Amino acid sequence: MPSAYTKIANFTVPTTSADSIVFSNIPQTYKHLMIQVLWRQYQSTSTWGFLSISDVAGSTASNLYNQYVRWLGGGLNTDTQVGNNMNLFYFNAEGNTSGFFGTGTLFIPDYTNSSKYKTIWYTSTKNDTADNTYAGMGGYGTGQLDQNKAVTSITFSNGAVAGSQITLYGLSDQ
Amino acid sequence: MPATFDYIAKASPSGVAAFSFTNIPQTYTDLVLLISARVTSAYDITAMQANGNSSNYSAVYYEGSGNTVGTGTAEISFRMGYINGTNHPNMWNADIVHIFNYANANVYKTVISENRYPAVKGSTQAFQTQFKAGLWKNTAAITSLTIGTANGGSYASGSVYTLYGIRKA
Repeated sequence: MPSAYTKIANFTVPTTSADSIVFSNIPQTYKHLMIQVLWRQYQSTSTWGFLSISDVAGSTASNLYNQYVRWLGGGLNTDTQVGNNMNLFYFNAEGNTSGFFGTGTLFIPDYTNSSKYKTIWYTSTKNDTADNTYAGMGGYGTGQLDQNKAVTSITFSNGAVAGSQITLYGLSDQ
Repeated sequence: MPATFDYIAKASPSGVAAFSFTNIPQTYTDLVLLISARVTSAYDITAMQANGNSSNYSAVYYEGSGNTVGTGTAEISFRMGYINGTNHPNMWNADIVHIFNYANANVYKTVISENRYPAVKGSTQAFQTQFKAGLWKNTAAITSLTIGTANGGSYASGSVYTLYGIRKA
């Protein structure tokens, strides 16, 4: 029996770049999408970065938004924010110690259903050497596409350093 | 190479307050439940019982946006988080639930769930995310899961619960 968890596509950033990463022609034969991310933001010199989704199935910022809770290092320190862009917090950025990448998981259930607004579940973390302030941060939230379109393409943006990776998986229901 | 992540079953509840996965194969190490759901009431809470048993569930959790940390003890079910309803039109919650060592008859059963309850655009207070670590203080192998709404709300058409098995390599 084939695995129900199948790799659809992978993109590894070859050279540090602000270019977008586009997954197009996503097969409509699975039930859910799972996306694994290894990401270090290129454009920011901050000690934290974020990953943006700038387009889902041809729908851009006006139909995408984000709600999230963040946890900071040094104890339970939370904040809830709402934004009109799908910026998924937190990952590492160029202000962090060299070599540290943030990791994240995105889950898009029932992505082919053309009768539902799409919820994008995500959990992400950034990390750094333990003696740095806010060495660890976690972001947990949902991105939203307030349209019923089936997810046929996803564009990730915000620039990443070489070695960053995004891998798209399909989960079947058969 | 044998598959290690298999589809087991799917439920699409609509107009009902509960449903069950029965005869769960005992050939995997862990279970994963993926959820996209709504209810036809204002909102509700997903509750799960193993083997029809209604005792000895407990949990610790973090809940935002209220930024609340809490515990539940001696509960009749494992409560996995909020379900969207008419409070937030068109919003569907998304949950991932891990049930560890479900077929091992020598250990109490541990559950970790991550729930997302999105709100309409621009709304901060009603958005929720819940993280729960739960325990079913029972060593019985889990052969069935009954899942429903804690407040009796009915599932909306389009709700889907997909159950997968993870096998050790």
